[in-house]
Amino acid sequence: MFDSVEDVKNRLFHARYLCDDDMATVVFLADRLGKPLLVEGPAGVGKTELSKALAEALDTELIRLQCYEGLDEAKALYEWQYAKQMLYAQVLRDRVSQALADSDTLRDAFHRIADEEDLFFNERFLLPRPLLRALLAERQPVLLIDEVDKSDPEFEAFLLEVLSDFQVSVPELGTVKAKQQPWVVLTSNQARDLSDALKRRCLHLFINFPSLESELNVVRVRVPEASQQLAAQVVAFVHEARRLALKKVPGVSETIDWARSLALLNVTTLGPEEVERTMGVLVKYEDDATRLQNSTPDLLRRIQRRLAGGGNENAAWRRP
Amino acid sequence: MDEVLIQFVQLMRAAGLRVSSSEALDAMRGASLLGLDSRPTLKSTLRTALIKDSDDIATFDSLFDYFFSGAEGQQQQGQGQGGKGQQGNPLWQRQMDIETALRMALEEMARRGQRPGQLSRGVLRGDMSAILELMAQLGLLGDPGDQNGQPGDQEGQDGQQPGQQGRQPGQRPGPMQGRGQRGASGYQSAWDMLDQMGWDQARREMMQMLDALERMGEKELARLLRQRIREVEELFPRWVAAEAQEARQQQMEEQRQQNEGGEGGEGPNLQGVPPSSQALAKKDFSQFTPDEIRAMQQQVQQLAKKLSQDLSRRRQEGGRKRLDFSRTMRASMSTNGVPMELWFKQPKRNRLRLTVLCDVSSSVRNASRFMLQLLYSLQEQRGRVRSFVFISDLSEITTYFQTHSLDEAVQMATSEADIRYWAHSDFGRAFRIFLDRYPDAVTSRTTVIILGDGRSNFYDPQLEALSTIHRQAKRVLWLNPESRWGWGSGDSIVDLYATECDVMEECRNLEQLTTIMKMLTAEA
Repeated sequence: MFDSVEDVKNRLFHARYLCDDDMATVVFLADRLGKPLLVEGPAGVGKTELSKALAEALDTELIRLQCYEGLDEAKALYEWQYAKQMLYAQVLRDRVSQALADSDTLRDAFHRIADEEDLFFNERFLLPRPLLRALLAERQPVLLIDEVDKSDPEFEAFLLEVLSDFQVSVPELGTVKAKQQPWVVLTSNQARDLSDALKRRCLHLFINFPSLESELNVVRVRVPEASQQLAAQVVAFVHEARRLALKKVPGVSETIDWARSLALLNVTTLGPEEVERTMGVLVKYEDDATRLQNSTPDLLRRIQRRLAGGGNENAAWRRP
Repeated sequence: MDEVLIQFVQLMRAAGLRVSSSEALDAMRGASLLGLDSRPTLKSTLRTALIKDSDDIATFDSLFDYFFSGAEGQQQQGQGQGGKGQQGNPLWQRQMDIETALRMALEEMARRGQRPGQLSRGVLRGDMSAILELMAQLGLLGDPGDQNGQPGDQEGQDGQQPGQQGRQPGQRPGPMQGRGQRGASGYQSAWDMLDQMGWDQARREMMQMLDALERMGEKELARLLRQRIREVEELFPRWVAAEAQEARQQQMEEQRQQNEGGEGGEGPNLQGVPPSSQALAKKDFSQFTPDEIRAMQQQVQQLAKKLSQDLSRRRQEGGRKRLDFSRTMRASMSTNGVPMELWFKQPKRNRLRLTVLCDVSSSVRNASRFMLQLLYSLQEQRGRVRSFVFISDLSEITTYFQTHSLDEAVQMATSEADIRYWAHSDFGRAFRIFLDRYPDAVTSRTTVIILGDGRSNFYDPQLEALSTIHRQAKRVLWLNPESRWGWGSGDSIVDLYATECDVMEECRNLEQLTTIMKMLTAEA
């Protein structure tokens, strides 16, 4: 439980996650109202990272359910460990025959077996998957349902059911109710529109690319080993690069990775050579790499101007 | 406080945003948790609870600023009254101030014999019910009850209404040039509605009120009123647009219910299209302005994205895995006949094989543009898509899509393909060329889509060519960008061609295109 919006900010900051007032407010509300939080935004702006930070801030377990096409209830909720059941049945085969040896009729044998059938359908053979694990957890966990837009609509409907009651029924065992209502975070890249019903149930948070200053702060917190100058250059460069028509726009995670790699290579000032050597961290497509490479000198010039002229580009223009 | 929030939710609904009562409840609970003191916090609170679509954030922001503006500046005044019900509320206070300003301005104007109309007073006061009433009087809400009385209503109809095409002459003044968008598709644009309500007059009156206040030396109230006028001028047209769209949707709904039982039982599913652009979705392709074409591109791409997702999704047979019995038995051999390992059948992947023949003659230019865009995006996916353009000749353009950017490819397809662009449409000839030159383009698993108006300039229809295609293909769909009422008239031979198609559908706007493509992916 968070005490206040400020508390959210502070505790997330300790988990090395920087959030603005808006985000902190939303997280606080989701916490207090006990509502799932639906986080949307472009790839790499820290949607998944938020739930990791939340788990850390709340000092609890993060249970992650990664969604993908074809994900079904069995993989999300629970599975019977069929092979184990089979193995036990085999091992106990002789014992079973013994037990049934003195039964007079088929009916009698049948009833005896039927009385024991719970043996083979008890929790011992149940393999809890993320959703069930989140319900069974002793301490309120953070349940991250990642990229929910990748799942099939049927699964979404099922998810809706779980999220509204926080209980599931396992036909052989009965209903399992959550010991603690988990803290649920859903993320979506908006590859597909989610159903209205699911959206209604959640609080919504849209994370966009951060401003230059916020991103610089993020890099400083996340990559303390990078020099001030490098961090500023990296962030400014990425911001410029986002304006190019790239297939996959570099997100904050790429900025962090890039700053980290550059720091690892002991780079202190960003130059064309450094950019070229480490470009693979920033862009993930051949076409993008070519495009970025072509505009690197231009971008470097621009960020130099920006950093030197304190953002006043006109001043730089006059100084040919 | 709750009342204020309820009012705000009503405003949001009026502006066309969908807000459920459970969401409104969340907003209230959130607001009572965090209080109304800080505007940014309240904004975050309401947004997270009420807005679930990032496309709607901009609308929300402007509505919020409109509704709660001045709340902060006036807070001290409000606090002075000790939070006694509404009197203590800064929003309420502001509303009261505006009422005062209005009353004073009206009195001053009355002294000069001026009397502003219902509209200007209503919008400034934020009295939406008065405005709705005015709209109803003018017949702008498309109430089917009193259609005949109001000439304006005729235009409010959905484009599929019989008799739409031949606009009754003399029934209304000619369409306003420049911004009017009524025409064959026959829906009433927000601007037309504003015109009919006398928006220009109302704006003049609002300025007169402002003048009156300034004459009286009421600086503070004048400032407030000016602020309000600015908000209103920005927001009111949007509100009307939302209202107009609502009315249209209702008509569509009724229309659909009437049509129910006939073909096309499945309603247009517009979930993927953001509400702000729903008006665009119903707009006739042939009526697009260049700006709208650009706006539309995005939507088409969105549609393509959704479609391709539907396509790549594994087909779940009956929603359950199926046991691969023989494989399971074989595996059980190694465990002494005990089936320790279960094998399941792999669900089949949908793979759409699409061959599209797209008429690019000038009469259907916009429709084919969007079709080409859609194809471009679909082609990037796994399914096999082959695209052809034709007028009288026919040529394959699949490779354009593979090697060029979307804009270039569409441009090339509509002007640089290996066909004579100045020729008269000749569908028969195009089909014949298609069969002769591209015999491998149609297999028994191919869905063939033909986009064209079937106006073949009285050339030989060559029905047997289409018949051959029909026989070879899994399915032939004909999308006709021309209104259904024009089919079969003049040189249109779609009725004849319809006999060799599985489906012939009108495809005049994005909504219809969406419906058809959905049907296609659902059955693929």
